[in-house]
Amino acid sequence: MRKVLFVMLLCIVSLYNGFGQLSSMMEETTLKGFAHFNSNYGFESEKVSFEVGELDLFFTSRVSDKFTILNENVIKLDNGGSFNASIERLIFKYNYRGNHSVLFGKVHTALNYWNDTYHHGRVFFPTIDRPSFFSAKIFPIHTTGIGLQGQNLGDLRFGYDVLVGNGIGAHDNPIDDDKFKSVTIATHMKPIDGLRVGVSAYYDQFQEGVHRPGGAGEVTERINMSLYTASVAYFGNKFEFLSEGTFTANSSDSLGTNNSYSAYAYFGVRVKNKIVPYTKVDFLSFDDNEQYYSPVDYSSILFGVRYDYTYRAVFKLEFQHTFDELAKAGNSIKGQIAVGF
Amino acid sequence: MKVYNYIIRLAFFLAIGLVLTSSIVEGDKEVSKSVSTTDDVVLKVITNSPTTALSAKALKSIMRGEQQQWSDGTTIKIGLMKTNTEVGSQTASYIYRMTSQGLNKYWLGLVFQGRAIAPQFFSSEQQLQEFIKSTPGAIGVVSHSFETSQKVVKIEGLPGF
Repeated sequence: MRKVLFVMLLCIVSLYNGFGQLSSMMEETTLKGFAHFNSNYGFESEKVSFEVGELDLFFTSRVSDKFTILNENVIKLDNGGSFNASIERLIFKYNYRGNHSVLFGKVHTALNYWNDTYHHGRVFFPTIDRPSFFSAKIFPIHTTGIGLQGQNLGDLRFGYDVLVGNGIGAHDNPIDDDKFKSVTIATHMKPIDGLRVGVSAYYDQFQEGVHRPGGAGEVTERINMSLYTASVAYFGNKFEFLSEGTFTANSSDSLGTNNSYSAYAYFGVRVKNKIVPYTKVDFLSFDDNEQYYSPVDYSSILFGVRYDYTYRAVFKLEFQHTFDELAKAGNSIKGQIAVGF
Repeated sequence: MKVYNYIIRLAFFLAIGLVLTSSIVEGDKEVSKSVSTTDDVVLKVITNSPTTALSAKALKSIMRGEQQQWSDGTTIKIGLMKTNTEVGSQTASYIYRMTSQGLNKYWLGLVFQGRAIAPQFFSSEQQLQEFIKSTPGAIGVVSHSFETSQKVVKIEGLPGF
């Protein structure tokens, strides 16, 4: 199935590139791509690894003045030489009034700044990797559903996203696995250029049998999830700062309510036109009785430098120290080339 | 007790964020001044819409993709000179207060977020004028010396216009 999808993607790209008239037929349709290459040296393993990262193909099209479509597809290599192709976003957006729109489809859940802003484009990431709350699957990265979106409203450039979707239990399946729906409410404001402050909330309910993250087995009873986030982001001509915190309360009949916390803070300074040294601290913390997440506390600190060769080609080099309850301390040096094309 | 510890840690991160942000914003204001601009009139705005005058704030809002419709509901379509041209570079400096690379990345990011449709970029002002002429709701920036048959929008309070 994945190979069929891959072939379809190639066909779409070939058609798009091969027949010039297609672009004139599909008014204002654009195709962009993003790719990256990583290398990693682990001090404990004493091993250098190279990794071909994701190939991200990204389409936008203005179907009419009010109606637009956005599609993002990612192809990535898995262990064993196979590959995984996925539709990461497919958004039908209708602008019904002013800066207010209604959305249908599969979106990146607008729960935090990173997920709402960078998606899969490593060229936009200020660091090599996402914050740890992505790998720990603290929140649903994608949601398939219906939403309302507003942006740049008033002097404070207020924005909102309200989304009703299939929820965590559905994973990324095309249809929901139960009758419950997730609800996302996210707001932000941009009082000055470059600054965005946001808060959001997420509520979901999922049934026994749902896979827990990190290979921690399956959920054994119904869980109610309430998740809250706050973020501050500033990206100016010289200084960059981004910090986000997430609080989750998972509750079930037998284990009661268990709380989890995660946060990170990134800070960078552009010392020359193209060079940005930066640092990031990051942590995850779980209740010992946590019934959904894999309860392994984690913390890390990294120091890196980013070279913005052009706006579509970025090089990054990082030293990272990590600590988690299972693997204990670890040190690594990572490099990345990320491009947009 | 654990709850309070982590609330404190989260609050600490965000508080540091707010303090740092407020101080670095001040620092960035100084940097923004270094984006090269002069007091000379170097650019003008042309449009295919009923608009005859815009404040500096309104022009920036439109050009940043924040205001996406005119007051009559028509969709705004932006035309810009490529940032490797002199006019494109001046547009980045005077309107966006960004470098040319910064402007390109700004739009790539905005489109990638699905929050706006990218402007059309042109290599010549003649092509840009043709786009404005043939596109209802279009607005674009050309050099002040460019002879145009399109309506010129009066810009109030923005250096360079």
